Amino acid sequence: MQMQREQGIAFPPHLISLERIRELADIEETVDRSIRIGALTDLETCRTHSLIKRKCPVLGKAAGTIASPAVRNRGTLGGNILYGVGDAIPILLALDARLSWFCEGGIQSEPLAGFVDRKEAPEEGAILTDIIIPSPVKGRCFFHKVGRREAFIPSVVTVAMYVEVTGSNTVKMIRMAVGGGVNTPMRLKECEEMVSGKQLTDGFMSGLASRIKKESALIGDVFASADYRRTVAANLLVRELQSVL
Amino acid sequence: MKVNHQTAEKTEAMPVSFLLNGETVQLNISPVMRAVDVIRNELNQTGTKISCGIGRCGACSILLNGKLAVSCLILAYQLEDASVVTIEGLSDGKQMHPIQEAFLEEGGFQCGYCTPGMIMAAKCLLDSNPKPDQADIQKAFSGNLCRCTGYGGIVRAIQCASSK
Amino acid sequence: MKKNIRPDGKAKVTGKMKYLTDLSFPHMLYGKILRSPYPHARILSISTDEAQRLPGVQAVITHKDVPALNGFGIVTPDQPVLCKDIVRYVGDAVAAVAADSIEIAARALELIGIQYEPLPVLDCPEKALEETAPLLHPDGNVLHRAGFQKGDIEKEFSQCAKIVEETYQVPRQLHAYMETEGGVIVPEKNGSLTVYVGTQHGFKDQFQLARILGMPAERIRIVSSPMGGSFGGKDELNIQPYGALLALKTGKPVKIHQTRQESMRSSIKRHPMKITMKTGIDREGRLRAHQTRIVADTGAYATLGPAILDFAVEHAAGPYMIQAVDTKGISVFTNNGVSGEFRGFGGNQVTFALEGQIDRLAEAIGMDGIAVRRLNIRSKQDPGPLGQRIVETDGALDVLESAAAVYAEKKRLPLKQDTWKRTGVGMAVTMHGGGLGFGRLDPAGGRLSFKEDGKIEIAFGFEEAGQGILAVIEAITAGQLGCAKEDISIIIGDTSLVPSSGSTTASRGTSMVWHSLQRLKKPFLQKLLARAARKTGIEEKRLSVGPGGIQVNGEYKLSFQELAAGEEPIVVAAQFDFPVSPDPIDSAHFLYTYSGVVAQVEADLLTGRIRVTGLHQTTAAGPVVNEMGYIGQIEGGGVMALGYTLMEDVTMTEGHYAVENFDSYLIPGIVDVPFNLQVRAIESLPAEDHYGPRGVGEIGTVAVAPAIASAIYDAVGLRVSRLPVKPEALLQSIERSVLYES
Repeated sequence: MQMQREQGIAFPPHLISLERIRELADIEETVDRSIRIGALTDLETCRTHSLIKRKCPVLGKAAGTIASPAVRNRGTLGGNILYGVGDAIPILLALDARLSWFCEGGIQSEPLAGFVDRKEAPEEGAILTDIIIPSPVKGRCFFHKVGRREAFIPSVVTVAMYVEVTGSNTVKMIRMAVGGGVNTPMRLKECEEMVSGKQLTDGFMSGLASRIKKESALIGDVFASADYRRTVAANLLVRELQSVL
Repeated sequence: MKVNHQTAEKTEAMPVSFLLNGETVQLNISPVMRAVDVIRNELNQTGTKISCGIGRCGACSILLNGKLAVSCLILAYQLEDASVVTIEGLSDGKQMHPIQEAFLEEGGFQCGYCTPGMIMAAKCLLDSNPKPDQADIQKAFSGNLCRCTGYGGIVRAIQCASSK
Repeated sequence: MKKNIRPDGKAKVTGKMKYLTDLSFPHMLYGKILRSPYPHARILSISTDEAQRLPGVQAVITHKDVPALNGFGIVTPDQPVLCKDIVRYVGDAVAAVAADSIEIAARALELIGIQYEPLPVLDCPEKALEETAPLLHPDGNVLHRAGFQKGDIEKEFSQCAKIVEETYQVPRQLHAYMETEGGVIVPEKNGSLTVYVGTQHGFKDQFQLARILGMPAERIRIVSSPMGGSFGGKDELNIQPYGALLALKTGKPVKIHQTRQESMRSSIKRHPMKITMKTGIDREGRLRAHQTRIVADTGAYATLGPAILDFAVEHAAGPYMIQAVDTKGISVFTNNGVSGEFRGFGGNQVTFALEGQIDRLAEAIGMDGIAVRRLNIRSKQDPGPLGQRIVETDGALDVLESAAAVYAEKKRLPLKQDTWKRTGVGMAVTMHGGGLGFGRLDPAGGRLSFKEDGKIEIAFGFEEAGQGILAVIEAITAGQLGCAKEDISIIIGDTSLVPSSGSTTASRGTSMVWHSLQRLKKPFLQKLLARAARKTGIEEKRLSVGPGGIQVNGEYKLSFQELAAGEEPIVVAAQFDFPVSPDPIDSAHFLYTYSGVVAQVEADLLTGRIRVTGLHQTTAAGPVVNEMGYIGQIEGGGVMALGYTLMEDVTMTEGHYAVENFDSYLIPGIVDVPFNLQVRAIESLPAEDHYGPRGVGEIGTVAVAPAIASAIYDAVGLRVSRLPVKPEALLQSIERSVLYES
């Protein structure tokens, strides 16, 4: 909001701070072994929390690529999601995360993808309370963010993947997600379908790369073209799948 | 069309009370005033600098309840009951903090404008990790920009301070 | 070894240093400047009534309020202080406001009504040079042409075994000093004005402001130091005229401190240039013909655009002795942001192109790049790049051999084993002129006093922008006089207290301090020792200056306080000019420094991103005065150039900035730079040299880009001709199948 003010957009007339509701800022393992992260949990805590380190280290890694230490101390995971194009979204999509909203009629839960597509709360005045990562995270996770600088940089391309592979290199389950810049993060459902249940071979990869480029449909700007973003997304995801072999 | 960046907002002043470098301050100010302006303009502690205003350079870094924060993105109401440490609070009277000495001895600054923020980031790093390696140092300073040194002197200062 | 602590160091690390933007005064108002939203437009009307009526607004000014010359510019005052009928870029000022608070001032700007009629936008030199292009200035759209010719270029080309022609494009770089422009302008009771605003030449600001305000210069005092960085960017006037006009109008101190966005919009930048070089080499590897065409986008106003083009033309053939040289440059007005003075001053741009040519030519004839350089590099007695006599040193060859050795050593390192990464090593050399050049007023001077309290006061009209001039003054003064640092007090950056020393630019400060002391030392010591002889009754020739006071045969005899007691101060002053070549060639330099750079890079084949993993810089600039300051200048300059090479570009589209702050304009962070930067100084000078230490403020920025470009070629085979290097370009150059069918 302060950034918007600096850009000439005035504050809304009223601000209500939720900062001191501690329950909105904790991380715990629920009875069904999912990980519940309060929406006001700061990104630095996401990066360093022992539960996340143990059960879902890729999320910690992803959080560590967002902004700087000082900003991570203040910025929250919920804020990153509500921003709509936050760098944490692709990995959360790949992890099939869900959101809990405090609505007039009580708590509502929905897949993260639902919010990301809508970019607004399920109802007027709803408050994001939790991010839930379903358990257990047993497959292989991958996250990579590419910016125009090594650190403290908005994303040009962010890719994330969750994949479970059988002994014979057959893909049992896969979720791929991309984002970057103004691009709304998205799952690559067609690509996932293309790969699911298939045996991974080198010959397969070239076709997958083209499909990723097409489906991701990342758009460009004055700093990085659409073609560049799509190519990098394909390179990183394909390369990661290759390394699974 | 964006013309001005500091459009006036009508906000009523409210009392805000916090600890600045160990001393209680009580102010009656707009709750949406930037913390950096509170510190620099209301309290005349100008060691904390302002450069980008959007949290992208670290020049205004302070410790807020012991954690590194950029004071251009903190609003006055968020200071309520908090403990704030600025560069002025680092040395106790005459004796400089060992980190300040290290910056002095190793050339960890030139123009000095990013230096207070750098030193706050250094304090935060060394408090939690007295023997940081290259990756730790890079991570800890990734939010603090310096245009003069190329970071060489800053790295040497941290290495020097961590060996003290 | 005890480290040499900077005199301004303690205040800086404790946060006690008061920068000029930290100052406040009783009854101080806040100023803001309204700038054009259009890159090119006619002003139809300006209405300030509503803004005037806003409670808390103390003054609103427009062009009508400029009492004398409505223009500024160090050489040609072609930039309106407040535009009257035409705006030529989006930083052009149209009105300014002083109010009780920043918020009210900002609100008042919104209430100023200005009607514009947009005009065609000339957003590149090519458009500005079209015959049908609107004229941005009365004399047309060409600010300046410069050239240099020697030898028969066609004949030499015909003798060449290989000719390489390439067009190089370099970006608009932001100085990105951490402290944006600002300060406080205070009207004094006696009607004079004190301007507490950073600049690189206090007396020049005084001159320019006097011309604008219609006030005698001596009634304007400029306090210009310290600054939170400048790098050339605060050399030209920025907010001073507005603060001064508002302060005079309201009779109150006015503070203006630009936000980063305001700074991005209004500040000068490094000239973007398009440089086409056609260079020929013979079978033996000798450079025979070198043709250069430079097109510089100088933006809306002149500032030092002509001198920068001259500098680029001079350095187009760099340290190489080439039979025939034909260089032509043109600096063109556009509706883009104003380009102006920036560390390196045109040298960075042409050096990137020139060293790129050498690499390409070496490959074309199958020779090693270092061997080609060795064969063609200047030797001690060779004339300078414009044919002028220059100070003789072995600098060029010394830095080349140093870089060659480092290059060989880095090449021997084992390659990193990673399927998707490639590493490379590259090198480049350059020479860089110091001072303003022949035919330009380049006065210098200093004053040395022995005060009533026993302090030795040394005064210069220089400014401390972080470069460490204070440490240099302290070290040279103590070293030359023999006293301790504690005995010295230094005065700089205040026109009411200092002599004119010329500008704090062009790597001239260190040189000029040393030259001043050479002149001041003898008369000063004579007077000091004569007094000591009188006071002690000891023969003058047995006395000498030591730490803390006067010594007899090395034994402490009389403190400086005792020596000063009851006496008048001793004052000696020197005025002289920066040394120039005996050959009257316009703008030619005389004192040069040299640099050899080796860069190591790692290229990521998946993302196209380049990381610089090593940067080794050898500099030949005479004796090192202050080691820490020297290293800092070279390392910091190197990293600034690393940013120029890989990420920095003030992108403009149709005359509008596409970047406005540090979230989109990127400068290197700590993770982007090699963790261990390496600096080597070659200090030796010929025995007969009497020019002392040379300044190193700029040289560290000049040869880094071509060294990185050369390393990129070594890593992935991509010839870089455009900066900053886009990962996209790298990715496109890589065979795709490599990735997907391993």
